[in-house]
Amino acid sequence: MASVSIREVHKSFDDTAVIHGVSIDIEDGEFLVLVGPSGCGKSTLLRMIAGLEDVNDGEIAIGDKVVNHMAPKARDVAMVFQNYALYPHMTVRQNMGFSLRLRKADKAMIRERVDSAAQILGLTDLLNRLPRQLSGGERQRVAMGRAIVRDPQVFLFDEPLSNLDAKLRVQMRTEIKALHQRLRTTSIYVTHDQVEAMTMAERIVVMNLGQVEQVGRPLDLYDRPANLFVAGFIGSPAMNLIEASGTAGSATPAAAADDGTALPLPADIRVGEGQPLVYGVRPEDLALATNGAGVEATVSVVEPTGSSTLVFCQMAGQEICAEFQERHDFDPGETIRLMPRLETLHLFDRESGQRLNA
Amino acid sequence: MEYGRYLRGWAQQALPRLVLAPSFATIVLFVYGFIVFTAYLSFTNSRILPKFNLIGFENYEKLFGLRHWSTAIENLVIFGGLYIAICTAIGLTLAILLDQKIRAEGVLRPLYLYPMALSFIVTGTAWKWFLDPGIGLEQTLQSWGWASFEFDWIKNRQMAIYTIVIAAVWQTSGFVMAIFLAGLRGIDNEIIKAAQIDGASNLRLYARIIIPQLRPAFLSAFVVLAHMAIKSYDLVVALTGGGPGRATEMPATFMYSYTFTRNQMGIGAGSAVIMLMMIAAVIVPYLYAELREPRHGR
Repeated sequence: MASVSIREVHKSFDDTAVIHGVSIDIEDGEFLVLVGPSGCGKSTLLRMIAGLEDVNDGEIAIGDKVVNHMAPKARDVAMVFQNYALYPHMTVRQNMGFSLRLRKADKAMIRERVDSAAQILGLTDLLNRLPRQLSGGERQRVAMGRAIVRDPQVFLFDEPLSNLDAKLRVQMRTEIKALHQRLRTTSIYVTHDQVEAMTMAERIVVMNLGQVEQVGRPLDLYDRPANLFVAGFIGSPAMNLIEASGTAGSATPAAAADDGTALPLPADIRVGEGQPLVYGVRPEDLALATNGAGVEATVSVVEPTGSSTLVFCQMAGQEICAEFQERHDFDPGETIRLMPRLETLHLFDRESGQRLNA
Repeated sequence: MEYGRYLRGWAQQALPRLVLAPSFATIVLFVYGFIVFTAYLSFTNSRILPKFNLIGFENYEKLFGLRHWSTAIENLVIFGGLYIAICTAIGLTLAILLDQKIRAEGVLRPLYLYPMALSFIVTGTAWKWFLDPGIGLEQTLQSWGWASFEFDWIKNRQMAIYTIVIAAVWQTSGFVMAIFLAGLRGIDNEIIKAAQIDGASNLRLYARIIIPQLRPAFLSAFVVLAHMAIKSYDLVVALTGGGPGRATEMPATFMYSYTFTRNQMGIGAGSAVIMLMMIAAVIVPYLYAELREPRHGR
């Protein structure tokens, strides 16, 4: 096991720059998730760590060795690919033992390592099958087995669950997390799915357009997104973001949406008059208000999920979503009043997109 | 109205059959009909013209007693074996080299394929001149001052069959390369990356991961080359004419000369049937495997 550090790494394909100076430090034994929309450079970054892509500028170190110019096989990393990349002409046992065989490891030792990995992953009965005789989930496990058998310094996962159906994905998510808790091998996991990132990561790196937007523990990112991009990306259903500006004239700070609707602000915040803001409130932070408090909203759609109720409505001239733990049965067109929880309000500067409140 | 719709429906159904019927009938008559006719003739005592007196397996007994026929079969074994092996080796090597993301691939690929566009007659004639000791390679190198250089295989009874191998390999290697190149392009790039991370050197990568996955390409190449070897006729005629003497006689040239110039139509037909069976032995298992096994998506 080893730490991985990425320092000011740049990458471009031909003339298109795809990664603009990314720096991340990954601790020994950590489970780090790189998440971002497609094209944000997360997979490229992972491939650079694996040695499948050159580093144009900057440094990547595994342990204390700079690996920029090392061949993939010299880096002692194992990678799990999105399409599993199993060797189609080899049995499961041969697939898993291939790297050890290349290293001319002792036959008995290979057998033992493959058997124990197969046992961890529940593949013992499938060892003599060919990949095409396996289901998607089983292939996925073989791909992980191939990585485990090597006992590498670092595991790299490149969207390993995206080809699985939803139910299996949830199950494999848990299995991978459990596996990491058992092996404690430094893992870097790339996904575009923020739910995967939230549920699996010890730390998340949110990337966008080749840059790191924010690094932090899942709940820190959720509770205190550093900018508008992270605020919109993390969380499902997504945070409601309402364009507004500061208003003056009253003793307490206040803001108004662009259509003039007044939006309540916490008392400890300072906004200038006319300052362009984005007012962010998560769906679960909207409560039903009575006695004319809160902000008026018109219900358009109600979606009961069983565990909660999602209510989509028009508020301050914008489509927003509120999530209630209780069950409500509003009619479309009904007017309700919603009160944002001021303690968990997110305020951003509209120009820079940066967070304003602490 | 009702009748019109019926007629249109009938026409729509029948049209494909109507369009295909002439070529289908032609094929049935001229390919399969004449196969049956030839097979029948091989059991008759036909000489210069077809006769219909059945004489059982006599022609086959005579055929396998002929020194001439066994030479043809021996030559086929030498030629076929070397031709298939060398073409496969060169084709695979060229394909692997061409697959290294080199710059001039677009120019080189058609260059290698080009010989395939020539008729075997052209190839044979060109190589006949090139290999002729009096006017070709030997003469040229000697006139340049390498007086001791000798390359007279084409005039040598022992070696002449190998000149046919050389010319045939020159013609077909590029085509085999195209088969392998398509196979290489079909291999999932991620699998190659996975093998690199697993620690495979380039040599191991090809030996253990890539070449084993080219099995379908090997099979296609083998079937194409094997049937071309068995029916090779024009190249032999153009290059050596079956000579010197009968040193490069092949089953196809044998069949032609016995049927049409030596007035032994019965024996010629017998040799044709044997060739058909050889080709069937190659192609039928291939077709069977191809048609039976549904393609697996990976």
